[in-house]
Amino acid sequence: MNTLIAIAGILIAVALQARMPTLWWLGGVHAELLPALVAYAALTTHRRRALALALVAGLTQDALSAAPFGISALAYGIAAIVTTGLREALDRDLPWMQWSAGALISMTGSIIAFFAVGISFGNVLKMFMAASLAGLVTVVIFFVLDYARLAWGFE
Amino acid sequence: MVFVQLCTPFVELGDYLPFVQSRRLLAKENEQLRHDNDLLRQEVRALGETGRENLRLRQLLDVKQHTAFRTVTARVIGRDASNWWRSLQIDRGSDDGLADNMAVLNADGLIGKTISVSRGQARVLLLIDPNCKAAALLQDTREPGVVSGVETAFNISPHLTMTYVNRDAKVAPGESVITSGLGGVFPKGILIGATTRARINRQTGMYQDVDIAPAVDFRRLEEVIVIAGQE
Repeated sequence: MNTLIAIAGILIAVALQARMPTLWWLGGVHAELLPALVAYAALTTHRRRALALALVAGLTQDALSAAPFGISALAYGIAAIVTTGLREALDRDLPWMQWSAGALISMTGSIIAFFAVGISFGNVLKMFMAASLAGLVTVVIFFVLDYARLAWGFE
Repeated sequence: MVFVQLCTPFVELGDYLPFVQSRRLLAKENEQLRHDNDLLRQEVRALGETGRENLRLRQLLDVKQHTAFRTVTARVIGRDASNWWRSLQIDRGSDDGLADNMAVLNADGLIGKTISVSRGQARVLLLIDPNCKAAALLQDTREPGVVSGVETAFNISPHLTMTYVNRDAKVAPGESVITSGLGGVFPKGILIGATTRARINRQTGMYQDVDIAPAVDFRRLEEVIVIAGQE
């Protein structure tokens, strides 16, 4: 049941992400919600479940994008494995740790995307912008989901 | 006499009673008017939106009437979920006669081409995506080249570049750039934008790169036309 709720949450997040306006004043990026959800899953649940949710998030994002199918799933899958491996070293309750986890997962997605779109100074700058924004979103998502878990007792 | 003097203030107070009563009525009427005002303002907003949509659809209809191609009008229902590709989702698909690699435009000019078409929806790769390339012509000098999107640092607006332009060509700022019809995806003569700056390509020195201001505002796309083949 909780996994179904998590998948439903991911689908809603992807749909929202596909409707986010592009912030041209910030280098043409839009806010990403999925790195935050992947970070939350990786720092909260066990590895197998976090990986499954990351793959669902990546494949759903690719379905709503012109990206080669599977490229985001690969990135989020790698990020989920690495982040769950680092879980013991990370204090998930610290906002700057949450920000870092979200930003690093966003950067993993960007670095994998560079294999398809090519790398340039503009793209690297855009990657940092997107990662910073994803980090901020991650802090908010952690706060909201932790509160929801306390209130409704999700695991 | 004393009695009259004592009663006078109360008589004057009585004069204010209708005022107190009418104030209550006025407050009630005011509340009703505020409510009506809110409803009317909502209606005006809705009518304004309908009017603007009507204007956009009229412009699209004008394009449809002046083209020799079979066209399909579609609404934009989503943007790209990723930060690294520039695409749109539209509400028409193969059931409406759409297929891959069909030109998409609006009243202002070229938008992009269809990719990954499903039965009821299609994805449009925007011209500002570096992976979408269009064979183009400078309208006055007839110099050919290839237009595509570019990702530059501090990119604060959608941006296009025309490459492989003859290095000896004289490119005036503001010159219109149109599709050349080569390549078979985009029909000839669709407006892409206007030149802003030309420079010799640094890497090879063999041709010019021309910066283009897109004719289409890629930030505000709501309805589009897909060219779905010959009439």
